[in-house]
Amino acid sequence: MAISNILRLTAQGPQNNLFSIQFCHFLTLCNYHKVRSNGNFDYMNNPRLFLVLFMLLPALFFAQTPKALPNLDNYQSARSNGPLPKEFLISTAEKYEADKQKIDQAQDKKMQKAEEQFYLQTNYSVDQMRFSGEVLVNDTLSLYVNRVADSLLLKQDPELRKKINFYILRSPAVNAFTTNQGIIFVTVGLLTRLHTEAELAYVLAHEVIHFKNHHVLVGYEEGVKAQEGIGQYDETTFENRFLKRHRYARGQESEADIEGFELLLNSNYDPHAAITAFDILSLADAPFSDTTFTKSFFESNYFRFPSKFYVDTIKAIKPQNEDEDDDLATHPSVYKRRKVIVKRFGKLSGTDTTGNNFLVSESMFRKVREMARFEECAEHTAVTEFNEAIYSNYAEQKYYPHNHYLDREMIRAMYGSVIKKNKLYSLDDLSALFASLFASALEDDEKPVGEQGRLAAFIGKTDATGWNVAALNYAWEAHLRYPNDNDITLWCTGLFRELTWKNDLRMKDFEKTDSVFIAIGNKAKADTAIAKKIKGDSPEARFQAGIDHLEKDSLDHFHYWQFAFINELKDSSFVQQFRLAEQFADSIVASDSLWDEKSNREQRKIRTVKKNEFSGPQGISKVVAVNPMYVAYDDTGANQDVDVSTTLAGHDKLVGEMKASAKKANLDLQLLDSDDLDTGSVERFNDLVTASEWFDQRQNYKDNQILPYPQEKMKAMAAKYGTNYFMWSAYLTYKSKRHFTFFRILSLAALPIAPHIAYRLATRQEDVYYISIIYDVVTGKPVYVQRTEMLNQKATDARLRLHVFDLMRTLTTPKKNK
Amino acid sequence: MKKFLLISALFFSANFLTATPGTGGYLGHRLIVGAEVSYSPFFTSIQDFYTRYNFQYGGSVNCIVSRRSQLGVNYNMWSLGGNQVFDHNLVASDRVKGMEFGMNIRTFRKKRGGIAPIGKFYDIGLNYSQNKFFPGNDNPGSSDPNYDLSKMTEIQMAPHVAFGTQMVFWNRVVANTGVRFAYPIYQKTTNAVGDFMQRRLANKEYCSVFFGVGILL
Repeated sequence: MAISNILRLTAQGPQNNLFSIQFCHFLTLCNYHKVRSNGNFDYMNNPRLFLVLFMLLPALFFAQTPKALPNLDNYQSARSNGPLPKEFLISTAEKYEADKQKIDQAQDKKMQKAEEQFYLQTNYSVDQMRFSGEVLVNDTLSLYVNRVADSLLLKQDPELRKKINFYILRSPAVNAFTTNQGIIFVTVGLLTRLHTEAELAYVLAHEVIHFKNHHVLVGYEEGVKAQEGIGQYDETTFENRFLKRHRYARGQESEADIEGFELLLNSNYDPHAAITAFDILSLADAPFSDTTFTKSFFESNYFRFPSKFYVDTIKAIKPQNEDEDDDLATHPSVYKRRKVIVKRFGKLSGTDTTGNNFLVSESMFRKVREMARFEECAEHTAVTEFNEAIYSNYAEQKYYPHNHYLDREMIRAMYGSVIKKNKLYSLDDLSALFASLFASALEDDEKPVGEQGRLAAFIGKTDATGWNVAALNYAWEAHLRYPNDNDITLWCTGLFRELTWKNDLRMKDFEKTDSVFIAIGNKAKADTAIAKKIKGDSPEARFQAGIDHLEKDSLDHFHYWQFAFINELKDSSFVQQFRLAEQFADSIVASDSLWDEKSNREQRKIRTVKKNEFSGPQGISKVVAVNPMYVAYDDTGANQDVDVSTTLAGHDKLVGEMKASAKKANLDLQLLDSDDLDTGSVERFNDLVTASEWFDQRQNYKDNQILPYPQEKMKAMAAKYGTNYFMWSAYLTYKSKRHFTFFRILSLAALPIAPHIAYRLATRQEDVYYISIIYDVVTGKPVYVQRTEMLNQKATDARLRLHVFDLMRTLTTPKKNK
Repeated sequence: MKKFLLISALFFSANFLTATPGTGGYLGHRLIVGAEVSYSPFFTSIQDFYTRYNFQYGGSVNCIVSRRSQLGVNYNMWSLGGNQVFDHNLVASDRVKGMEFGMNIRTFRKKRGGIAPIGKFYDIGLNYSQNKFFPGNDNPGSSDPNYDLSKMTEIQMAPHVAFGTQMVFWNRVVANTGVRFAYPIYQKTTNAVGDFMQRRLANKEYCSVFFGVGILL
């Protein structure tokens, strides 16, 4: 299976063609007939197999003609369109009330309560996800997935189809899941790995069975029974209950696998896709491509990385271990699941197992998959998985060179990676760094896995300065290609700043002519031992040999990156940007040294003044509040979790108070809130997504750093809403058990004096936190920061009201003149 | 004394009223008119332990003068019973009645998220009180023509510091509770029972627990 998957993986470029599919099926057939030895094929020792493979070669040749690539030249990030679905507009509380009516009153009270809790929790979680910005509505991807679902279900069970909606979840993970409410989420990561529409149909069929058989609710109830020791979990140890519960979950998965397969079999899709779908699952952790990585991608005429950064030997990607013990897992191992389906084929003698790989449209499928792959590059960056983002992008650029979207995403990912590399290493980063540094000398087990691993090792081994130069080199080239792209210009500024501020480099540190570059190459050529290793006779090849093989002394302390901007430094706009970055870095250095000269007392005083400025009057007249958050966390019960009822009620109160207080304080408050949408609000929904994404990104970087995020989007929003000020706020309450410390026991003695102490001792401890941050989204800098901790104080309505009013009043109060 | 009080009042009010203009108070309400009761059971004489609570009653007017401060004036009165011990184990059940005017600044603690008028606070202030002695019938001095006990008075001045918490209910009602510590820095009495009165009044001041209720205007 290992080789079959790897071969399949390498064959799954955008030209993924008939051959690759046939080949997959052929290999699947091989697996089915158990012609495997230790999980690997031995082609040379298996003449029968070799013969079949040889017979397939003409097909390979014929089918290798690349199909036309979907045109994605003007690709823009996926965004929701059309009217918002009904379920986006009904409040969580209303959905919960409606679900509560479904509870069977005849069942045990405990189970009734559990079901009630289930509806509360799931409605809340699904709505949280819906408005997290990760869900796409009516976009090309989700429309396509819904059409595949139509092909699968409309003829077989039209009523069931009506109950289910499919959405795309913007996540690079390979996953799909269902909710009790008839919503099935399919991740972008899954779409990138598919070979055929039929595979997608099988995944959907599997999830549809989960919904049809109420697996989510039943599974939850089973969990409650296991926890309480009811029914089959009675009279057994906790460990056994745990194992039984997981066995039950695995049973549900197997049921969905088999019944989903039946659904696929009864459709016009090719049922063999169920097997290849499991192959995808077994490689869920691998990237969607294993395109060979070469460092030349990041190099230019005058910029070459030393070869030592490039790991020559890597380990092949292997699918999930066949012998994996799944006793503690909620899902059976992929190997077992796949085996069950293969067995099922064995029992289908006489049944027609042919079908189509595409029913909706093959070209549409290819477009959707490529779009998903484009999207995946951005999603990795969003969750700071920069190596994965760079690799996915690299793989796509093989087929879409100089694509504007991919170029932008590559710059974002490289810029994010540069910022991360320029930061002081955390313990986790350090271990990753050491692993990558010694990658070539490591045992086989520790070698990088796959081409993505090779790229990660390369980035890990490259020094921060060199990587910064590479990123700037790439970004500047893109800037010249797209001079009107303000985001790329801004990211270039960010990369310049990283170079001058974090890496402390100035223009003088870079060579303006190629004389030394050529001299190093000539030195290498003059050495007969090195000369043999020079590939070709270009100055670049000689320089490469020079930095790879010359002794350090012979290089006269030159760094490999010093020649990177020989051409660029002739460009006045490059020089100007560099100068501005130098001034920026100098100003930071100057203010840092001024700061160091101050006494501790003066520093404290300045900090206090600054803090007061940030939390004091602002003189703002208009603010956009993005998704105000209210979370009540209860740590007192058995289920230490979000208290959903209090949270929902609290959110309504918070939003209500914000509106009322803003009016009172004369503040023009625009709310971008999930509860504030109607069917025609898709634009507001997209704005909510954009602003939420921006806030997420902002928190990952320093205030004076330019974000690797499309700032132009935020500028457009600022213009649309008529204000630069966007607010993120959260009101958090935390209930916990009161700990009887020595001090508290002592306080019992004070009861005769102050009997109200008894109230405090008898009630739960409650802490309240109120956090508000307002950013000027055009400059990207915070203008107001207030973090209030109210420890050991109740979350009363009056407290909420006062703090919200105080915030609004502080914002509108004019700044004090100094 | 009056001059001292006037200067103190001016100092406090001027300092806080100019500090933060445009203070909103609780949704714009800045004035709190309220009543307060306080008691101090432990700090009476040994004989009074658990038996006397030294209740004081009064009213106050507070104004929210800045984001975290409120300035108040208060009026309190009391009628304290006390056993005066004479020689030969002779005990007399006397009474001290009095009233006080005071002013205080209540500061809501920034670190605990206090914003006037809600949250944890500390309070400093100064009280000026006038007291009168009422001898019990069993007081041997009451029948002694050399002493006119009914004319015995005392004037006292005591700064205090208090710690507590204040809440608002139904957007209108303010409630607070806390502990107050005070120490008389100035006591002036007429002779004869001066020592008893001084001790009795000082005991009342040292530590007391208070509860207050008010209306936001």
